[in-house]
Amino acid sequence: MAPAQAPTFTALLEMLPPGVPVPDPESVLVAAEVAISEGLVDPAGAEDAARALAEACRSAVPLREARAGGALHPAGGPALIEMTGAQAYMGMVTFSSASMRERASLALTSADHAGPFAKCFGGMPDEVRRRIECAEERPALREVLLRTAGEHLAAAALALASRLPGASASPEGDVTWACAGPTIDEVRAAMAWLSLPGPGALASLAVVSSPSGGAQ
Amino acid sequence: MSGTPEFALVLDPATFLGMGGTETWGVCRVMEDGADTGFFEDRNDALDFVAGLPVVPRLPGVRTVSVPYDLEVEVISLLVDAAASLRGVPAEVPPAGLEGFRPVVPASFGGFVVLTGDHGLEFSFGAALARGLGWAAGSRIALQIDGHGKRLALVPSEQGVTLVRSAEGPLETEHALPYPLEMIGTVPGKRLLPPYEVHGDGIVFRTPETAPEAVPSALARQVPPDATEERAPPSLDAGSVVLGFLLASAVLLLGV
Repeated sequence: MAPAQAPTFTALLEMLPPGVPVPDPESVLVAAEVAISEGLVDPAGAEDAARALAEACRSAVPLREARAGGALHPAGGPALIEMTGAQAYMGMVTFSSASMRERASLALTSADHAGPFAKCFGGMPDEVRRRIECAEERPALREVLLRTAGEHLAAAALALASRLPGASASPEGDVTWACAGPTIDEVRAAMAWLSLPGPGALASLAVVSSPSGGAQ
Repeated sequence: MSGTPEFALVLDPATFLGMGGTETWGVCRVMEDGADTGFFEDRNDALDFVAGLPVVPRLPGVRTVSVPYDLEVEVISLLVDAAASLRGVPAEVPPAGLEGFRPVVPASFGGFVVLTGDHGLEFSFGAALARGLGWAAGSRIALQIDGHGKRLALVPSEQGVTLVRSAEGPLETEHALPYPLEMIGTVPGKRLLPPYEVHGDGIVFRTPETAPEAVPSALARQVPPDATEERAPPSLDAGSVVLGFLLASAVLLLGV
């Protein structure tokens, strides 16, 4: 469960059951409205967050279902995403597990690196916070507790990213999310969540490709 | 620790030293039916002890798992206590016990090798264990066996065999110690890594020959679940007494 002060987009993602197919965008909007009206999520910026999530659902390429069906990884190799002519524009966001672990480790020792995680979660996840507190009280355990705290922080970030509609996590923990649409505007709308407080703050790479094949 | 995930908490020498332990690899294996600890000079020995369990925290090339904070701290404490026991330092004041009983000491693994030879047993000790026991090159130790012939002990003794520095481990026995009667017939050439307990300046352990594995429990499993019920005297409750009385009365009435 997200911390109480979690950004709205993070809180909305946490409400999506993990591992389900890409939800219907209109259903997501209705669910978000209910969550906002009942005070389950922070109302500040809630409309933008709800709209961004709905757009992400509208254009998401369901990598999760494809992977589960074995279509993307027939031999456990890298994802192969084949686009149709009608969906000429494509966006893709990746979260590297190795990079996430390194960033999480740095975030626990340097305030400068903690910013993106704070922007994603609002505060540190409970399992991380308790280890940090214990490490401060018991210096002898500091090194091992900060190491496991970093692993929990990275795992929490990757778990949150894997809740993005249609996102797929590899056995190594890398997360890929993709979207596609007939216009560049639709793809950009689907990727609007990248600039909101939430997992977008921790993305390793974001790419938008045009019909000519050039990346933007 | 039933119901907890199975994993091994592995602390490298630098981390373990910083926690007040010794400069060794410290490993605590948490399994469904309990936990045990081991201390190793060599990383490969530590990973052998891990035996394929996922580890905490991450080690390059080894499957990793995350465990809840409370469990992690509990296991770290277990490892630190075991290390303190290894060094002969009581982790905490033992509680008052029953006569004839002693506090349970977590069994340790690693740093202790038993070799079965043609003429007896040879022993090798890792640096941390030797340091914990206060043994050094030139120390003399003797092999003892308990009254039940189940457990062996190595203790300092002027009449014992001398310890010398070795290539394999920091210390080893200069020559073999004779087999106890219970181990006559042991197959030579075996390299054993038995679990052990440190008591003061001695070490207590068992070998497969002195403590055959799980014979009583294997026999127990072969007993049918209801076998004891068949042998048990029939129990009489109030209902069966009343029923018996009514049947007897009916027989008497019919007989009349």
